[in-house]
Amino acid sequence: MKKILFLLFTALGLLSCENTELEKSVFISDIDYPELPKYSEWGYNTFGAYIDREVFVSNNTKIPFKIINTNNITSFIFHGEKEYREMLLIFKLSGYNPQSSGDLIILNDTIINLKSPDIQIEIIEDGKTKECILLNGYFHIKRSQNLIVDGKQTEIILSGIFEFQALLNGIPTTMSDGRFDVGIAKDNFYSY
Amino acid sequence: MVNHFLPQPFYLISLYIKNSFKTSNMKSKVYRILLLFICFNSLVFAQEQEQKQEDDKYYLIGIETGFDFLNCNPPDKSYIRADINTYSYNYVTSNITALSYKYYAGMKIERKFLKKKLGILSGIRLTQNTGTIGKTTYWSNTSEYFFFRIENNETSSEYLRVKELKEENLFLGVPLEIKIFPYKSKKMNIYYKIGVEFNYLLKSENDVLFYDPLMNERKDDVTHLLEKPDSFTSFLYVAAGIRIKAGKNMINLEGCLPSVNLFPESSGLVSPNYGGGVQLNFQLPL
Repeated sequence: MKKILFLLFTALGLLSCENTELEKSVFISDIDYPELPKYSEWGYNTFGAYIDREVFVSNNTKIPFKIINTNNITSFIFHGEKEYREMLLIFKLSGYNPQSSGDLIILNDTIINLKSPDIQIEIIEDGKTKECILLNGYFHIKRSQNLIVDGKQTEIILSGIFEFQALLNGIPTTMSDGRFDVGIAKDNFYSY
Repeated sequence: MVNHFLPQPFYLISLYIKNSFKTSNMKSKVYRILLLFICFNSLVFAQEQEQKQEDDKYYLIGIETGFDFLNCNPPDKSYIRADINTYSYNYVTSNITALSYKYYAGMKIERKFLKKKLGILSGIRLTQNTGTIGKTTYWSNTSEYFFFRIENNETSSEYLRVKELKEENLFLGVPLEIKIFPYKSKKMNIYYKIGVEFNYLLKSENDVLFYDPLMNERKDDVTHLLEKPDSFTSFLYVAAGIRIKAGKNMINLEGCLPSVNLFPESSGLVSPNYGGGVQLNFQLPL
């Protein structure tokens, strides 16, 4: 009995070590835009974009990306910081209802026109929601892939680019050079 | 009378002269002193001739052995998932450190010039060069791992958790060296050396240490993705050493710093730049 418990805890420990290593954010600077992470498809758990001249980027303290599916709306939530202030960028997609992270694989090479009526964007900065009226833009999931580690399916990696123009609290604002490379597993995928 | 200092024949002669002093006259004493003086000078001359014969030996043959530790560029591989230090985000984690070391043995002939102040050496050398990715020290194994991407297609990627990648190369080489002895030759002498070695690859082997031993069956899948070294490598090095004379033989102990890889990109798994090491060699006059 003791041996079984020992083996069980060891296996759990090994699994958690693996998840911890993959959950880490690995920020590798873009050569052309050093404040932003370079575009990658390794599941480095980073994202970044320019909001006009300011930088919105992932950090090492917040989980950079979550997907929440509820009430027929799937939200892609980027949680990072802009000029040391907490900020969330949320893309809300109606009519798409993945039940598990594995369902995200169909998003491979998918371009979402942000002017579509099925899309809403929400920006929360320092706890305050900004009114956002989209003018144009796109959200392109260039690659959606299964990640297998030591023979076991572990997570889904979503990698892509985005940019848009919008009126934020009535002020014309451009979000440009947006890129993301994030892993989605049970701990950052919610469906209820 | 106990003989502490003199060679035997000279001692016997001096003993004879001393004993005869007791009974002989003045003229005889002078002759005996003269005889003693001649014997002494003959002995010294003979010793000098022997030393000159030794000094006239311009060729030395010797065997050598040594090792070098080499600094490597951080590996930048398309098949290794990058990682960063949690506490210092500007630095790659030690999980993906590259190390390189080599040890060698060989034989060399030295020819002396310019009243033995200059020596030119060449010979043959067998070198085992080991490069690793994943180990953090030369002497201990690691418990950490990194992710090795073994497959990457449109809808999936497969990683294997690897603790260490290892490459062992065996080279046959020719060293060419110049030694300078700026100081007067003594029993112990300091010298300086500059050299270059040209190596030809005889054999190369790769090995993988997996985090999960069950993945050992995937070893070939990993090793066939690893870079192979070029057939030729070359190192330039500078050394300083101590030569100790032990009778006719010479023992040399050298510290080599730096040893510079002239073609780091041709080295295979890791790219050693420069390093240092120690060499011990024994020499005999030919």
